[in-house]
Amino acid sequence: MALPRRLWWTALAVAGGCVTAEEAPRVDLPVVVDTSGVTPATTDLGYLVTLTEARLALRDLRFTTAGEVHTASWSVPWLGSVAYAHPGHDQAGETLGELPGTYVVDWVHGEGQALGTATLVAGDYTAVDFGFDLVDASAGTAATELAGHTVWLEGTAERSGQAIRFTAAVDAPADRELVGAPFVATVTGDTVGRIALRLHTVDPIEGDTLFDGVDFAAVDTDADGMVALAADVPASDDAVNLLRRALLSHDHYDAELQE
Amino acid sequence: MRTMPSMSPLLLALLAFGCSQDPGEGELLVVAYGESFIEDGIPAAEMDDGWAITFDRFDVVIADVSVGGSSLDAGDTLDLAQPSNGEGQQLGSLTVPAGDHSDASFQLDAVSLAGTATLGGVTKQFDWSFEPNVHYSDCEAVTTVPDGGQGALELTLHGDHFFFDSLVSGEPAVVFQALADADTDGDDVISTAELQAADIGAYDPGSAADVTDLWGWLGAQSVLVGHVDGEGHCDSHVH
Repeated sequence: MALPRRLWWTALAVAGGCVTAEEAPRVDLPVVVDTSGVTPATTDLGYLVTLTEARLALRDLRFTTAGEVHTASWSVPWLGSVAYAHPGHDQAGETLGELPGTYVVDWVHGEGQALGTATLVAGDYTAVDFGFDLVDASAGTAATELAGHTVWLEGTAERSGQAIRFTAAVDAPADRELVGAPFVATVTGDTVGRIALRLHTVDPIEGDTLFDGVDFAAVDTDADGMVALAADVPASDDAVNLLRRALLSHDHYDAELQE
Repeated sequence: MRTMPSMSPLLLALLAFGCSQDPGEGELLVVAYGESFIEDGIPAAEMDDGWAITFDRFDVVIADVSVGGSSLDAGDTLDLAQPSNGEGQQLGSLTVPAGDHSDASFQLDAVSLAGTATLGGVTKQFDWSFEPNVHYSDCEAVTTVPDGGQGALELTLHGDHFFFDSLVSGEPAVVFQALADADTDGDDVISTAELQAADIGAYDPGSAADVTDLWGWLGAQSVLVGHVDGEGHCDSHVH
């Protein structure tokens, strides 16, 4: 795969600020789905949530050298040392690698699912960014439940001996980008391996879960043990808002270079 | 044997010229401007949910303005809601080397805004103060100062950012309804305590997971109001 022109210019600029005619080393690495982060999670409200389906539509992965990176010290911006992003100007790091395209990721059944081959310039990476997509209704049978949405979840939430089955459809705003999921790796021209992309039901740094604050029983207004969390279900508005925030946060994603 | 990378004769000539010539000096006038949205208000047509906003007061404290190696401490409170005929409020002036400068930076220490929002027959009052303590740098602007002449740098504050529904979208909606709904005691004054008790609802905080209530939301937006020369964006770092 030819390296996009903008990556070459970035690579040259990063290489000590001295532009020469030499091309920076680059490497092609497969990007695959790693489902190990989707585990049963106990929420702050005491629900044990187990996912049986979890699909996400994303596009255009970018691997960066610095920028808005998730650390445990993040706090409210006027109390901490956070570099805050201006809307539309996310203060992301330099992009040195990318995997363009649109993808539907199966976080439960898709272990090892190959998304494609990313091209990366040699360097020290800190983060991965990507865009959230909305699946077109004509995307095919595998994505039927995702049609018109960004995320589709199914699972159970158990508390005090009561189990509630749920589905959740979550939509990202148009052109919504996720910036700064951890991808800490040193890539050289000799690097061989793959990049594993993960969704974490439990934030590996702060310990919060994707479903914190969601009161499944409160949404189950007819007490039939089944709930749908979706924009067109008014009783689920609060739950959908909380779930969307978590799913669109970099707290619950990362990528790992597996050599 | 090591060889030097080739360098064009033109570049060498430019470097030699730059090292031997004194560019001279000029004066740089620095103003803070809230544009029509702060001086005249945000009309309903510019909002996505029909509310109209007027500011009785939009006080800012700006410090540490730096351009071309010169700095201006400033630090006084300026009310950007006062009419300025498009000129902005003067912060001061700097003596800087003549030429083009693209290194403007400044500090926004405090923002305090009071005003009303109106929709139909309903009017809500607000009086909110924040201390963003945010430093803006790497701003997207080139300020030209002629030798012996005067240039101008405008630090532009965007009041509509307080009503954005996203911290990360490039095209956020500009809305007030959620803030109006926070007035749970119905006295038509939206207090700090009421905002602290109100969840951000459908607002999109990006990855700022700690921003969960509307008071925190407004505080986060206060960090993002600073620009230069109108729409020039800057990197922002909170201290």
